[in-house]
Amino acid sequence: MDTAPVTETKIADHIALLKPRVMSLVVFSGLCGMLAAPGHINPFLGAVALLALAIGAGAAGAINMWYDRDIDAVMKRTRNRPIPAGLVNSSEALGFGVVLSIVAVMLMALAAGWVAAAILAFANLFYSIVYTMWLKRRTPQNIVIGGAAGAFPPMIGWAAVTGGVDAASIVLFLLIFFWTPPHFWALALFSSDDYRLANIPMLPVIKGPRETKRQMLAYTIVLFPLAVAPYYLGVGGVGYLIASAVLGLLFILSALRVMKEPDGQTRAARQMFGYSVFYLFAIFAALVADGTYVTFF
Amino acid sequence: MPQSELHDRRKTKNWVLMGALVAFITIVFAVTIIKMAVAP
Repeated sequence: MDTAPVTETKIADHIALLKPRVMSLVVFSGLCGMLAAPGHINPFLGAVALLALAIGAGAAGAINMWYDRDIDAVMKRTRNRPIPAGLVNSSEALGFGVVLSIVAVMLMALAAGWVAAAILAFANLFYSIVYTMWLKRRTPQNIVIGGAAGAFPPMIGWAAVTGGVDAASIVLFLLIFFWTPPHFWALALFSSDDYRLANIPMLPVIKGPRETKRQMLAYTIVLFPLAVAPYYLGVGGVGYLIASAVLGLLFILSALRVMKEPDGQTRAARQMFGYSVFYLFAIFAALVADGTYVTFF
Repeated sequence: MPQSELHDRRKTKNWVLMGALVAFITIVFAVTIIKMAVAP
């Protein structure tokens, strides 16, 4: 459903299709995976691998916007996106996303090898098909399983350097995988009316805020040992151990504050959402700042 | 014929597309050269 006839689009509208804010987090976590990995990559090849990662993430975002154009038009948070706003034609957005996905995987394969390229291709397909087309509108566990797609970037960065997958890169994957549910459910707690309106079965809509808050706390607790694990795997130093422990405790505390907040209020949930973004940036920054193998090219 | 805003936008888009293609070719060329240089 396109909301308005489209004549000729602006470049800025195509950039908006790539979800630049999500892309920045993907590139950052991919770069951290690359820097934390044991080994060395030519700086130019590393930069091209990151560019491929950025293009791949953006392409998946464009395909997501193409498929979700009907519900984006209903939700307040998304109704100004390029397709529902009538700024980009939906089929043009789909073509843009597919072409960029292919370009991203080709570039990744050329610069960083087939393992990194295969993971990137899998992550793109997982986000576009498994999450967007299958899970998102069917189950309240949508972002739990679908969150895997967003957890691949550090693994891709790691594979670009080492050429493979190992325990440490799986832990980095799990770190984002278990971070995703409390992050998105915090958002869903203060946007549940929007999701209800669009018929998206987010956990607060289906199970209510109480159960959502309980599960958010459970995920922040599970996240704690995963976040400190890189120290025990020899990837991060003592500085990383301290930083990840403090950040993890604060994440658990913010989930407890959300638990204590009466169900009608959303202040603590908003604060937890903001903290969750900071948490992920900070934990990966700490891994790079005190990484055992980090060499800045 | 006076240029309309539509023409301007289309022209800008075409230039950007050409720039992207040139950048892609340059990157592929550069990656190939570097890979050959670092190959054992």
